Amino acid sequence: MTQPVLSVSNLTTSFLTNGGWKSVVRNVSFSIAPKETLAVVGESGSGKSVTALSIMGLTPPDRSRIGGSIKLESTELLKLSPARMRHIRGNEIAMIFQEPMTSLNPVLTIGSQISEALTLHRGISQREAESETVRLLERVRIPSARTRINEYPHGFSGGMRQRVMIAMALACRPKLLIADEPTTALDVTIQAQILDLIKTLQEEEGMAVLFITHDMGVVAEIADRTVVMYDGETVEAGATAEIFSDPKHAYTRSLLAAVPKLGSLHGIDQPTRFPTVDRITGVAKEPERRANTVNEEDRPVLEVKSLVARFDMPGGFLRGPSGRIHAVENVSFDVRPGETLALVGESGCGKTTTGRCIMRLTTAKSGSILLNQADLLALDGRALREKRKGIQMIFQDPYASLNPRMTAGEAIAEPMLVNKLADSAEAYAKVGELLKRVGLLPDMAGRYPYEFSGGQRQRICIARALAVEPRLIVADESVSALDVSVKAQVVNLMMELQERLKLSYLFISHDMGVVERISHRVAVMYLGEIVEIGPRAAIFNNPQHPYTRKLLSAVPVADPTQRQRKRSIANEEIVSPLRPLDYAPPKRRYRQISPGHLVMDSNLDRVDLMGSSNRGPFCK
Amino acid sequence: MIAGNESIAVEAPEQTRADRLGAWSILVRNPITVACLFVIGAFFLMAIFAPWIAPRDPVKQNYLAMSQGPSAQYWFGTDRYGRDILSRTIYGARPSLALGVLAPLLAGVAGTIIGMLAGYFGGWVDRVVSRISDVLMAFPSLLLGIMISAALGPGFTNLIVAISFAFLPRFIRVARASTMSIMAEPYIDASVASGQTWFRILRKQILPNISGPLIVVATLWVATAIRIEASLSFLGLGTQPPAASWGNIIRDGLTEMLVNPSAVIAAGFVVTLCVLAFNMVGDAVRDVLDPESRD
Repeated sequence: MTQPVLSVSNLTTSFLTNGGWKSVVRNVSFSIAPKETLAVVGESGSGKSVTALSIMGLTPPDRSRIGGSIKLESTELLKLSPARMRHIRGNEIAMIFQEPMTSLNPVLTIGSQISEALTLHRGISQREAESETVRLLERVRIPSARTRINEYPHGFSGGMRQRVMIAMALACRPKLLIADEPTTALDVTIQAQILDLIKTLQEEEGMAVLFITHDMGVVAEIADRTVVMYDGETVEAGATAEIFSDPKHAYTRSLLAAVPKLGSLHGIDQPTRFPTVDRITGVAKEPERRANTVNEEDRPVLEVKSLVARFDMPGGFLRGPSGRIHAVENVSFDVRPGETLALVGESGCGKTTTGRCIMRLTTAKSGSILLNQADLLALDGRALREKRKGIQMIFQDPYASLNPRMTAGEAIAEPMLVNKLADSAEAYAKVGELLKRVGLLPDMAGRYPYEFSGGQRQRICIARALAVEPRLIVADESVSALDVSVKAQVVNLMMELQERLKLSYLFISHDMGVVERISHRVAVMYLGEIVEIGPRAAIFNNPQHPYTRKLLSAVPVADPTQRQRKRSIANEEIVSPLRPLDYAPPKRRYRQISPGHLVMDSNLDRVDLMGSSNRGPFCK
Repeated sequence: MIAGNESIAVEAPEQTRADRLGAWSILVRNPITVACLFVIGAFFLMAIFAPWIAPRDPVKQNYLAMSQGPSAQYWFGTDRYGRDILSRTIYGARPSLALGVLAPLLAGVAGTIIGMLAGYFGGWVDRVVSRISDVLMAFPSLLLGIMISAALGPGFTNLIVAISFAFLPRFIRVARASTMSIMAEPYIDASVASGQTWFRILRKQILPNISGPLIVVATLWVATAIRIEASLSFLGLGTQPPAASWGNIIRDGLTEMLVNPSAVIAAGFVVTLCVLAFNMVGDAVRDVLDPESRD
């Protein structure tokens, strides 16, 4: 056996807090062989990122203490001087981060940022550095690299920036690449491209990769071996295939149970809850089959007809608009009582704008939105407030969607008081009931939002939405920001509430795994239009539109045995719906595949061509 | 049993935010701030209980004891009308502190309302309000105070109006900008969706969240208000003699400063001490409530 590139033993990292030293990582040991990919997986607060920072020596020196040993080949990193460590960083170990949008300096060109790393670490001339930069950008498959080195980061999309970050990391041919959640902020199709790229580059360059992630799907896709962390400790370590097929620890089991697996609902008509696993005993409980909540005969709660929303892009000073974003273009669908319609697509596809138009939070340009046959777009003032309470919304960020100065109880009581559904005493009595209904305790009503965790806050948001007894809830990426296991719990809660209250959901999401669990029907949006809509089974088992297929094939499968064969590394980007002012949207026709399953009659290539360039959304 | 109950045990809420420790307990941790608070407290007690504390009537002239230096009888001496400077200085705290509290309070209330409306509604309301406050901002507060009190005539009420006007744009700006940033928060969307009217959203959702920076602005401008009152009274536009004010004590003492400096020194000292104490407390409040706005 060759010497491992990195061996970490008994790593313990503590931080100085108000109450003294607090260990965040305890006794973590692992090693990475050359050309190997090791995934460190865990939920927020598990200490996975601190492990990476400790290896890089990037924890604040005066407020942190690192114990144990970190060896890069045979060098003990913890004993190195800061100057030697600086040499190791970049030359021997490189790191890429989660946020590609903020990891690049916005006032320097891409080329100068990469060649700076080259001249600094490899001591080559400016001229050589430039040609090396072009070579590196070509390696990370950035098209027309020679011209793009003179551009600034704002002209690059998130995926392209992450490629630039990888190019920078590769600049000095490191032995070890640490990737800290490198694809978490990216769309699923872009994520697939970046994962493929990292895999290919690893083979080409022969480096070891330490991959830090919370996403079991990504782990299954990329890692040879896996370390599962929980609360600062390693709970399980081993070959990825073994961990997935035969998880030993109860925590690993509960984590795996919560991971949505695409295709796991094959042959089941109704939405199905996530299985629950007891964290202590590790005993799994399969979810019971769900009763049908939808009656085909019922009149839809919500009917959206030919909804259009466009935004003008401001031109320069004293000039008219320079272009127009066709955010939502001729979108029609309906939602029946007790039904969940999922609206899926990637960032910028118009799914959130559709949701906001329905809530009248964004002004639609034309179309109609019928809630129980009353057109919301035609209403105003008091009448609108009266009708609108039939729809409520749950937002993505559970931290920002509660007023920090209001207690949970006040937040939940407020909608009842405003709509005069209850007087003060009744409202507060109902708050306790609602808290219980969403799985919290009634005496939590007096607490402020900062006293709750993310999942609990999202439950409070659900309770607040339920307070006015809505028929429909628009859930805009409501579980996307939550940890896997918490996500499963909140999704299960939403399904339970649907059964009990016959709620309808418009579930806006990019997460196909969750969508498969929760939805009755799915609408796929692309560039502001619905390209395919139909029953969940039809969309997932018989996708017709090329974009739907692409979206589904990009989802990482949380099963290492089904690891997808390497695709050719695509480098297309998400196309922008920014159009010239005189753009007239083409007439669309839909083809019926089976009852209720409609697909747009056009091919993706044509759509792509009209979407124009391969650049960032605002480049002309 | 709801599947989610386990989450209560599993997820630990993140650490308590510093501003929840209570602004007051952080404030009183600094001994200098505590000392300044004591000074301010003493000034207020002095202003409120002036009739009991002051040894003599501050406006009573005594031609037998004019322009005297400090003595056991007159601790700070007397001015050229034979009035007791100690008593005048004690009474002088009244207009200074009344104005120092009332002007920022008035400007704060009016500016917050105007600024929140501009920030909430945007559009032409915002454009009109912003341009007017830009124009007001272009004048230094003291100059604006002089202009307005010159136009309205001297007097205490006019002085409050003048200084409040001069302070108004500062509050409008802070209230408007804070409102606009809170407007982007999803909980405002949630409030709109649950049927709240704009008035209720401003009152219950936005106001509690922007009060921190506004309190900071108010405390910082108390010191300025006291200084402006002293300056205007010194110029003869503020508190009118024979009523005592720190500004007009200095003005009266100026003519004989070279022979009998006790009036100028006494009033000058209390103005400096008072302004300094309010400024230090204002800075400390800002550091606690609104640390980002630090220069």
